[in-house]
Amino acid sequence: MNKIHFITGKGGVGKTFHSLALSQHLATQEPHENILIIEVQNTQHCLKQLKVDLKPTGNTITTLNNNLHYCYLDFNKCFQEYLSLMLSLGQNQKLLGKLTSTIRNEFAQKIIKNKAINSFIHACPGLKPTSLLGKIYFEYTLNKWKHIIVDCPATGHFKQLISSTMAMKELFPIGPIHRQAKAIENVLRNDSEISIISLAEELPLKEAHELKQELKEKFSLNSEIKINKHEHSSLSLDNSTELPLDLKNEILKKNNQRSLLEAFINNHSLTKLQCFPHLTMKEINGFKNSLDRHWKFSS
Amino acid sequence: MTSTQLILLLGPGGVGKTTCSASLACALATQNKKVLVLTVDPAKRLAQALGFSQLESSLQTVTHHQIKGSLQATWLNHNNPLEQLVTRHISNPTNLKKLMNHRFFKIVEHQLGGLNDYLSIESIINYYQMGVYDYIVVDTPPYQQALDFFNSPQELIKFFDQSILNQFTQPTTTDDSSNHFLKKRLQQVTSFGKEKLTNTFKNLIGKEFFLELSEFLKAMQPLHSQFITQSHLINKLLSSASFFFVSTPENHSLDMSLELFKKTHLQFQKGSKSFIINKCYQSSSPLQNLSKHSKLIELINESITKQNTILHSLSQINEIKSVTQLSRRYEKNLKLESLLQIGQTIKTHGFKS
Repeated sequence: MNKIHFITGKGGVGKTFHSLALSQHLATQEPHENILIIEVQNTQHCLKQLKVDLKPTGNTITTLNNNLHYCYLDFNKCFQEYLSLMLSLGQNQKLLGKLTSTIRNEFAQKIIKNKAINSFIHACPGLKPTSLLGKIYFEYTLNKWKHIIVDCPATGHFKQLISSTMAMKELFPIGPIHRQAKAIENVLRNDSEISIISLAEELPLKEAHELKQELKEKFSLNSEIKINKHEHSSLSLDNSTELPLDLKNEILKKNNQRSLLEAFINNHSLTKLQCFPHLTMKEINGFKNSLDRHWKFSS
Repeated sequence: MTSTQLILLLGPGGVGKTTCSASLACALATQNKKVLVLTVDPAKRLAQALGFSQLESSLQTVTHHQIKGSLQATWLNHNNPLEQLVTRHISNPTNLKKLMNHRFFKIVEHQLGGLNDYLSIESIINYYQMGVYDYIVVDTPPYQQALDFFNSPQELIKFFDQSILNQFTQPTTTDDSSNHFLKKRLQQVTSFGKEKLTNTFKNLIGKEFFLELSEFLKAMQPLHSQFITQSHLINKLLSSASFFFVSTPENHSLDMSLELFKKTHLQFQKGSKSFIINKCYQSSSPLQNLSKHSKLIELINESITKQNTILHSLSQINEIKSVTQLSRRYEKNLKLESLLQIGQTIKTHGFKS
């Protein structure tokens, strides 16, 4: 069964790194299957972190190596594709259902360029996130990718991504948009895995847990919290009396994180969380190695 | 116009914006000035440092022997923002009731971002126009939201602009006749005129939807002119404001702060712009001669090197008025004295009047 993996979490916790590590891991494990990384924002953080010199345009799939592919989303293109898909499913089937996809695309492009429609698209609540999610869903339906890894925006915008699709279902009680939103909801519920990345610090943990609960209560979606930059061993301070005070505190803080994490797990009656190590630059530099290491340590 | 000085703090989440805002406000209030601090984050830790059990959305006065002027704090909070807005601006009770019972009301209230931001903007303008404060310090929502924050009146204007919808709600003049051959249809489609385009879009989305939306927006009309006035006002206020960009010495948060800085600079060239780099290590040279070369030390050394690079590269940017370096704090319970101390540092570095 094909799967979509959504990766989210507070800003700066390592969402992109985790997405890359997971994709690399899956690509190595299943060398005969195709894996796709989708970056929801157009910042191309994935490519920057990989330090590859590729300059793809939005919504175009680029091959990173063998079976690993990458694409970042461009809202206008997503909406155009979404519209074009709608045109083939729409009520206007008599006329438009029979058109070839090229003409549908051309038509969708014309619609978007229309000034009045364009203002509507940008103002209509929920249309933007829905078409982004629509594109991810479309790639899923192609049945071409064994795994789709989605590097999502931070917590707040991720919630919007999910909730707007649900709202579209209410906003349009019938018709193609309703059906599409419902199909997306189905995939979210049954064929997706949502990972919330966090650090073993109070604020990110709190935010991660709130998101997990909200996803469960509001949308009946399951998710998992994963801890990044975690230290398995603590450093004894006995031999480091010559350390400046703030660095001593820093080490104490790091040492404390493990007890904080244990308390968090107990307080929220969670089973043990998956933890990933804090990698040094040296470890990250052999990138492929470090991605494997990221996974090896966690298990 | 009053002589109130507006100070805004912007940056990604978790870098200490709220703490810096409160600190700067405290420090300014020590010199016989009337200061108001508006925060979006009701953190208990901060409230307690200011001497309250929690932050409320009414004005609370901070007292301390070092505060020679006055300091008030409030939390910018709006439950049910759309409800607040419509009850404030729509006077006809029948219209109001009809609007609030509309199917779209709840959906829009939850989906239309920017309503909360907009209400905060209204509050800022109101406090400014009162003319009693020397400084108003505003703590903004994290990163991307901060960009949307000041544009919220603009965005709402776009959404509530009835004229866009008129094109979709007017009756269709020509209906597609379904008796044409496919070939002819293809020609039709590729040479569609403006009217045909809107009609097709209308059919695709559903005529009923547009009628419903149009009815809803018509009822919201009184808000539209309000949005336009406020949008104009806030832009005027912001053009003379001072901006502080808060970041930690990490690439990720610096990238975001720099982007905020660039966008703000494009829009508001006149106001002064400074940086605050929070959570810095005091040591500026990496640790050496440690017999046990642990990984943790290696990680800390990396952070110190990164911190140096970041501070250096910021100092090279001409448009930045000053860069304040704040050290990492490890205190569990924040005290007002700590806030005063942090604020004093920001004030002396980045706030030369």
